[in-house]
Amino acid sequence: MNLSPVDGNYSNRLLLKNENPKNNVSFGDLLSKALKKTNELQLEADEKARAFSLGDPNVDIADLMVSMEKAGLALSLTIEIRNKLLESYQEIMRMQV
Amino acid sequence: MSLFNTFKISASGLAAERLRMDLIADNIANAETTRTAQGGPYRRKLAIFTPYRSFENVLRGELSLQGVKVEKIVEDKSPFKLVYDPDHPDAIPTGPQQGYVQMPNVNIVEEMVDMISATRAYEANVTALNAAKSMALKALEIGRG
Amino acid sequence: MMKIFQEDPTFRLLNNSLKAASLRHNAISNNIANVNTPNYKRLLVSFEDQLRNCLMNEKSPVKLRRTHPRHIGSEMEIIQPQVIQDNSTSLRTDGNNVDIDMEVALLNENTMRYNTLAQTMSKKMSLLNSVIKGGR
Repeated sequence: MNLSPVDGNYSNRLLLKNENPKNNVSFGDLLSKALKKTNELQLEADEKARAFSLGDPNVDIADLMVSMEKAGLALSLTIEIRNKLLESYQEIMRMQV
Repeated sequence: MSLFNTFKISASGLAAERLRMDLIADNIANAETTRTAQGGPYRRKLAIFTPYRSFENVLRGELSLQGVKVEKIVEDKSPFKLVYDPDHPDAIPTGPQQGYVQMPNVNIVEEMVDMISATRAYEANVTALNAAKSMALKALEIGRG
Repeated sequence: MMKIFQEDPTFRLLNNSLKAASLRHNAISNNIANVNTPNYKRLLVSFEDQLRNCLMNEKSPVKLRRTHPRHIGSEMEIIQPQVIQDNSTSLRTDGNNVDIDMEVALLNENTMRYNTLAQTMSKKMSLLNSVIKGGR
């Protein structure tokens, strides 16, 4: 196992990395991406439900259930993200400056 | 392909085998009938099965997965049995076959074997139907948590 | 982050395997319904073998580059369940090559497989649910 000595250069490299604009992803971006994906999954589940109701032989029961469950989980995930963001925001707001 | 399609397939199998059983029952019941409405002895009946193909399937040249169809019910053209019984009311009065009675071309042993085969096929179709049902119910559990 | 739903190889594999098992049930039901049809040749569905060969075989026609040998990637886009006709000669006089005992055995195996896959999928969803809800 190679152990490289800890040196001052290391922390400098970290700083440089963070200044790279491509790596700067804000929470806002994450949330909007999550919303978009959630919406897509909802639409897909709706489409499958519609096709199944109309008797489309290509949509099987398992297919439909999986789509609906995926949409549900994505929604739960988005809601949790939102909750956590709100909590952190409130936490920050409560800090005595 | 969905599981709902398999219900149709199994149902077609059940219907076909049931029809076959009916014909076999008819044959056995009429094994000694020498006088029918058309005159002459009873002729053995059988069903012609073909794989069910919808027009769409044929057009696309696909392998059809739609079960079985009874195309038609035909009468067996094999010759009647001749039994010597000069006292029978339907005995032939004159000619080289005088004293012989024309009996239906039904072979009881053959009919019994067919009946066993039809019963087994019917049961297998029921098994397939139940299996499809259990699979669909299991798939429904995916969303139940 | 949402990638777990769209691109997780386990999800896709389970999904495709479920579809293959469903198609196979169609084929087996058709064989059973046509067990007494003259000149009928039995149908079967090929999927798992194709996929396994593709993943393990050096000389397979479809070999996609992977970053890690155990990833199941786009093989699943290419390998689809297929209905094949078994044209082997029959031992019966009516030209039909369906062996009803074999079909019922296959039926049982396939049903078990489908139920297992459905249950696995269900459990996986439920695990994700627990993770998301944080044990609440």
